[in-house]
Amino acid sequence: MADSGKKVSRGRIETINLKKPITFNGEIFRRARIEIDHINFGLNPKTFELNTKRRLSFTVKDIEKFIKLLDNEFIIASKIKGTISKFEHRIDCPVPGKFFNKEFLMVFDTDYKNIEELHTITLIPFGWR
Amino acid sequence: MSENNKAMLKRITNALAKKDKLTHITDKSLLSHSDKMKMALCKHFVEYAVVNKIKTKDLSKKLKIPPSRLSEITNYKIKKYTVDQLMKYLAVLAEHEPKIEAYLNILGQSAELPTMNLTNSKKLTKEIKKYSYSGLSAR
Repeated sequence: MADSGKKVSRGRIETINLKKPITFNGEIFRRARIEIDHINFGLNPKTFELNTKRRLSFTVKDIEKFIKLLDNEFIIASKIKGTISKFEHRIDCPVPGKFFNKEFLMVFDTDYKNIEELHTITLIPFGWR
Repeated sequence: MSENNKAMLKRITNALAKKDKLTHITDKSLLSHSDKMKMALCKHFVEYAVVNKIKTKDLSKKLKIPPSRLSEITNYKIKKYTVDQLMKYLAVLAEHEPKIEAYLNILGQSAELPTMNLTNSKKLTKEIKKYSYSGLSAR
């Protein structure tokens, strides 16, 4: 399912085809770009680089479960810049055995130019860690 | 689409600082019927703002609802409202949006209908969903 991940300054990015398309803000999304290293390692606030120590152990399939929770949702973007809508919201972890029901901050973008693709940037564990 | 890491960290820090104001996505199957109803009613305000590309600030002026109240509604802070309060606000929105007016009529009429058997209820729910979402994608 997943394309071969390419390396950028925030590590590996995987593009996946969602098993079942989701409807978010009235638009249908069939693909998701996932910054998997950013999610699992996080960024260092001093060096602005990826941390060397792993903070989470999510797989692309786990992130797909988070994305599924957005199905049929309507959320107001925190910021709209050109064609890009930026979203940040709280989300309960739907992955059994991995922080199940714990709360995360989910950061993602959608782009009107690339309407079928959702760009999941990161997941940050809230206070409980 | 991607911003640099410094801008990204700033975005994350800002979001963490206003944690309580953010929308909380959770598994709907765990909610009570009343909470599900409240979530559904709040969704219409968000849908209206998203579809018409209106900022919540402008929407609050249009509906004459205080911005802080509308912000709570659009971020699904359902604990702060009753179904009755949300219906009252939705009636205000209906004055500006015929679709909402029609929706409220359906809601009223379906609430007064006698209950159906389980199979028919499920079938009807499925049909309504199909119509609603095909209407959205045809926008």
